[in-house]
Amino acid sequence: MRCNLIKSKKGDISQPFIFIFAIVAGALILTFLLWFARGHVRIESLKSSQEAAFYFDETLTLLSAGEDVYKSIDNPLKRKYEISCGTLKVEEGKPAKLNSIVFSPKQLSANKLSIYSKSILFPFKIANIYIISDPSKRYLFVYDERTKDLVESFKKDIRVKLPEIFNFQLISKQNLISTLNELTKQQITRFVLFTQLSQQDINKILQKFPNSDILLIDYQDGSGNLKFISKTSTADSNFFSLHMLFAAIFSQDQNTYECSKAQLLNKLKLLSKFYSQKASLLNSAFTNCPYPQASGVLNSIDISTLESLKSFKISLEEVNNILAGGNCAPLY
Amino acid sequence: MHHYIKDSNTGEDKNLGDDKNLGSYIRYKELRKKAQLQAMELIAVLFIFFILLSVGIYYYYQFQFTGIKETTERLSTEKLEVYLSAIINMPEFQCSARATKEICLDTTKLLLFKSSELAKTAILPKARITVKQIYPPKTALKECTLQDFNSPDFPDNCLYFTIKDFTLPEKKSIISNPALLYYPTKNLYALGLVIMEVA
Repeated sequence: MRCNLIKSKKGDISQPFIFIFAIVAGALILTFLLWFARGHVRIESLKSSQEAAFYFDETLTLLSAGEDVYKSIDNPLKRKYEISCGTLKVEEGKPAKLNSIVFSPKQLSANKLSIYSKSILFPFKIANIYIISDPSKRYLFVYDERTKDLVESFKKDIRVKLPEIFNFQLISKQNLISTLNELTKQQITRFVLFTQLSQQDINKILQKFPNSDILLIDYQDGSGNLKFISKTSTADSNFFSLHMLFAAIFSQDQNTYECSKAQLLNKLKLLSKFYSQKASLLNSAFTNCPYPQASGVLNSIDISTLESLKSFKISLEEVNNILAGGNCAPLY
Repeated sequence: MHHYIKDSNTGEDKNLGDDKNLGSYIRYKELRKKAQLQAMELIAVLFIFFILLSVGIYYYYQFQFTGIKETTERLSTEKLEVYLSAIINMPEFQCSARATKEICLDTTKLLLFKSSELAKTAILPKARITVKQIYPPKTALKECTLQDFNSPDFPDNCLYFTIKDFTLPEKKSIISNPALLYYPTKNLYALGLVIMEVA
């Protein structure tokens, strides 16, 4: 009986019980508050990422007003941008669709981004392309006697100059070979070869610079062929204008370059069809003008090869010059 | 002397023993009452605490959602303004003379755009977008179509070009931007407005 009474003396042991209860309740409330704070930080960070993505896209759209413009975006915080074929992801935000054709490394993580916007005319304006990089990505342009003038013009000639906001240096083939060992101390993203190197030298570069890759350029009068060489793969591509060459230089790899190039060529195809409709419309207003000929050229566009693209451009330029020279409204 | 008490559970009389045991029993009863009161107090405090916490969370989320809604609205308005200024530079509408950019809108392109394949792929905002001539003023009020274009009195026979049609509610906001319009068939320029109507 006595034992039972002691056992049931809850009032006497209520103090430790209160302490245990307070610890458990306090721990629960603290966990809840921590969870709540974490959620708050996550929401704010997502909000900020989405806003950054929005302003990024907005900057690109605004830059489309210019024919040849460049800009640096400065962020107070270091942000991680992930750009892949028409989509942009900032930090852990949701991937957003980009309204612009972008050529850039896949991942950019910097306080500062360099953006170069250029109108692509072929021969009419197709769209503005955006070449994006960050100062931490360093490109080494290698030239020989044959390509020296061309490569130096990227630094000096205002007509073809690559904006200085991009981190690129010029080096001759001889200097590269002789200073290769010293260069290993430096971080180089890509070796852009405007020259031929032996397979042995290429292998040496890939071996000494495990984080770098090589872009081999065969430049011929504004267009040419490309070879993306990395440790694991080699892929071919081409460019139909000097600015498409710049686009290739700053693209992550052949896949991302081809993807954005396909977007551009698809737009070219659609615009050709559109200009063909315009030619038909103008044909009803202007008699004795070669609009049917222009329509023929526009409808026969073939974007599959570099040669067919070049031939399309030349033919359309010819017919547009005839239109502009006569009493006809030019197509573009 | 022995004391008895009726057990509330079994209904039987329980022997509590002598006076000493009775004292302990009374103390036990008092303490149990006190413990019960303390537990009740604690539950009441926790109950009030959680009510206050719930109210706080509710208002916090209300505040957050209002903030997000306001930001979205602000960004949408900004986006529309950006689009409005970008339209004039889009190759789909822009004039050009042998690939040299001119700051004007080609009316033949405006006429053709809506029914072209480009309209399906062009990224335009969810808005009704029209281009209206404002100077020289026109008496015609209708939309310009291909039939109007083929008429000899074009461009006086119609007022505006529709770039994008969009069903809008009665309550809508309108933003506009001036633009130069070019009529290639007449080699004429006119002053116009690019108008964007959004819900």
